[in-house]
Amino acid sequence: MSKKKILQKKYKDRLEYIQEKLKKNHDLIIREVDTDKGKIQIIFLESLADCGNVSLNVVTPLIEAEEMSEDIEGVKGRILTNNNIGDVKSLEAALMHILSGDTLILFEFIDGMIFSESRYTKARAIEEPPSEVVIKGPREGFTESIMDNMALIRKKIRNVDFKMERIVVGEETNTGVIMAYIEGKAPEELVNYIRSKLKTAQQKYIIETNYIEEELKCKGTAFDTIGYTEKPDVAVSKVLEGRVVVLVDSSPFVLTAPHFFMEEIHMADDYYLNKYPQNYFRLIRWVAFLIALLVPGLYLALTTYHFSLIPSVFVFRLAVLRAGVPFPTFLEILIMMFFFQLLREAGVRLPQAIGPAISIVGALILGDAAIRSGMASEITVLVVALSAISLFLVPKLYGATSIWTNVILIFSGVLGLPGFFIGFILACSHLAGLDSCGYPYLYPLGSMRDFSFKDHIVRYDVRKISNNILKKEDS
Amino acid sequence: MKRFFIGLSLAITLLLTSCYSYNDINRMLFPIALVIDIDEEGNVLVSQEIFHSFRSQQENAEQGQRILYRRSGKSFLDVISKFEEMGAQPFSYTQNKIIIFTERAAKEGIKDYLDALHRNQDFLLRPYVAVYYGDVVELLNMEIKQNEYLGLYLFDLFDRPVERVTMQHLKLFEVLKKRRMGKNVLVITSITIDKNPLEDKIRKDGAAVFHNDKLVEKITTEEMKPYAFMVDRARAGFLDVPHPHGEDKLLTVQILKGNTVSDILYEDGKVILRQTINVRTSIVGTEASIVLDEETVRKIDASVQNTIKKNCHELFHKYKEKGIDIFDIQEMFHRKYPRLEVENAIEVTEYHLQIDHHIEGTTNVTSFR
Repeated sequence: MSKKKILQKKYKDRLEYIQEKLKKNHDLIIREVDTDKGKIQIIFLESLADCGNVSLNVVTPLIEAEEMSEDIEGVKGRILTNNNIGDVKSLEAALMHILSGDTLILFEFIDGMIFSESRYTKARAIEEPPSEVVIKGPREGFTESIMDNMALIRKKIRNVDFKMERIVVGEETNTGVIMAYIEGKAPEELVNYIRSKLKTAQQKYIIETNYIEEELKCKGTAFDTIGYTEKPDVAVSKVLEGRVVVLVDSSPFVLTAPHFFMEEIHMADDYYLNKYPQNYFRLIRWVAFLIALLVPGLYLALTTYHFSLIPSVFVFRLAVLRAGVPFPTFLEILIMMFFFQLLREAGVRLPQAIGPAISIVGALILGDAAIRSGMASEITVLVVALSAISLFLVPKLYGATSIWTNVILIFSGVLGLPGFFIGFILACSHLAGLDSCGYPYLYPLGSMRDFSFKDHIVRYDVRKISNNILKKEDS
Repeated sequence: MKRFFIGLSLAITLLLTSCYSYNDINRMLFPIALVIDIDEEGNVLVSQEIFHSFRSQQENAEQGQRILYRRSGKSFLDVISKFEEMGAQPFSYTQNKIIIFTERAAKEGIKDYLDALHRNQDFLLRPYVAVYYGDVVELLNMEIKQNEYLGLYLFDLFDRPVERVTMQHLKLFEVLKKRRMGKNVLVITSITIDKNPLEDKIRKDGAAVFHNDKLVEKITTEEMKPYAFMVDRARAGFLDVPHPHGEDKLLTVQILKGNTVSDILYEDGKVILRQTINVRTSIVGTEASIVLDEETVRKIDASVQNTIKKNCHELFHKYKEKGIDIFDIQEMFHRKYPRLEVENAIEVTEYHLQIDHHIEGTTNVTSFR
């Protein structure tokens, strides 16, 4: 068999293979171009590819070529005008390029395939992220476009050591995941750990960052041991502190690892505004977290077991306020907390225009009606509302704190103050047992002397806390 | 293994918890004052003033209610258990503010009551203890305008700091502690009803002196001042001394600062109690005009010293003669000479008192415009 026939057969087989694999796809375009040397097939997905780019940089140069090259390097070097083209080694890779929005070029007279980048996805504009609003500081937020997100980070770090490694995750979606870090600053074992976790991820498909997060995070906990952010400035600060950030295609959230409990209390504008008021607000957030976690349990323990610890006048007031309530205090608190969760869920699920209004009206009416109907006392409504409002000050701890509040509440209901302390100690032990990519989740507590993470309860001067936080001080 | 240990620790906690007593706060009866009396036949009479919350169907509103309970029995705990027969809800003594012994019960002896109050874990150790001279029914039914509850009123009366030369009001735990020290002498605040043409009032009325848990004597309101000086409690208050220019008139000084340093010495079978009373005063009132020259100030100074000295000596000798050690001399002696034994220290005590008195001017400003 002559060489020409062999090439023609390969060309035909490849085309048939791709047609077979991508059949029943309305957006599949196969454009045939006749040249003096033979046929060329240009294959791309109309929905993903930039058709103008394909016409301008692939189709037109091939048609207008005065003399078609017979080797692949000649086509790449002298004919195609796109700036990102390359060889395709296998048919699986060819399919992957097509499914990613690239254009695949098959030659009847050349033994090889070329891809020309033509990806085009309509991305949301860069907007202020709704979940991390700041008073002062950058307003831009990540979008669903991984390229945009990479650009948002890259433009802030002009450093040759800054690396962005691409790893494809998900058997069915083949989602691009970018692991970004500063070489030499991020601990090598951390980078290797995350890389190996991503490469061995068992996920069949990746739709959102949480699919990756679950591969990296500590199991069996409601606390987020992997951080996430929508703000490029936050992601950049993490990278500069020696951490690794993970970007997932089609998600506006960027993962940061390792992530520590302390950071749940910190807000981005803590670093952009005057440190004295911000430290005050940070302390308020700490207090709010403790109120949210402990006050319902403490209230229950004191008002059902330990009357002697409450001032007499307040005991009498509490007794009068609860005089008409038929339920035990324990049940009363659970009911009110359940009501609150209903309201919150309704507020979150309803459209943004009416959600907050429904929540406020619902809270006012439900709270008032619960008291009037004798289902709950004013003080219980106050305690539950205080706990709930406090929780809004530390939104990233919402889920975990809600669960642990209930755990402490149950212990307090069963055992009084000893139960309250058991619940609290269990919560502390649980926190102390967690780790984030090999680092203790409660870091730097217990290791403040060894490490340079100085940004904990209060913030010091930015100059002093801008360190490589994962590096030991003596190293 | 981790789960096993968590389960085990929880099980142990549950099983070993002795105070397993969930109670809703609105389903409790809270005694606020406990009055202990005895009748002619020697039965114990206990009266309680109780706070109770309920929802009124008539007014459709929640409110607190004052309930008075009274039962009698063979012993204190017998009476306490009898209250359960009439209380529709459990009793919680956590809010009890005061334990009042009547004069009759106190004379009979309070040892058994203290023992029961100490051992029974339903009672707290922090209520004040007082002795009441008068009729119990009148006390409990008296209308107190400052507070709806007698217990809360007396708590405020005892607990607030006062600008008077007076002794420390004892709480139950202090009573239990003091009766084990020295010669088992207790000085407990006494109260009475002040019959007044305008309105009857409850007032403090000196102190009741207990020896071996029985009421034996009473310190009058006048004797309270020297007593307070001698037990180092004279921090503030007023002293009336004769006017330097007229014997029928009085001059009042205010104690700004005061403390008493006591020391014990044992010599030749005698105990010498040496006390130095340091007191700073300021002239705050006079019944007649006064020129404060050096001579007058010296006279006032001497007068204050003499008044304190005379009253202290009188009080000391009164109780020395009775052999009742209200000044804790036995305890001081025991601490200083733990190996020496003296039967009753006050009976062989010589009292040496030194007064270090200083009158302070009320202002340094001498020129006004």
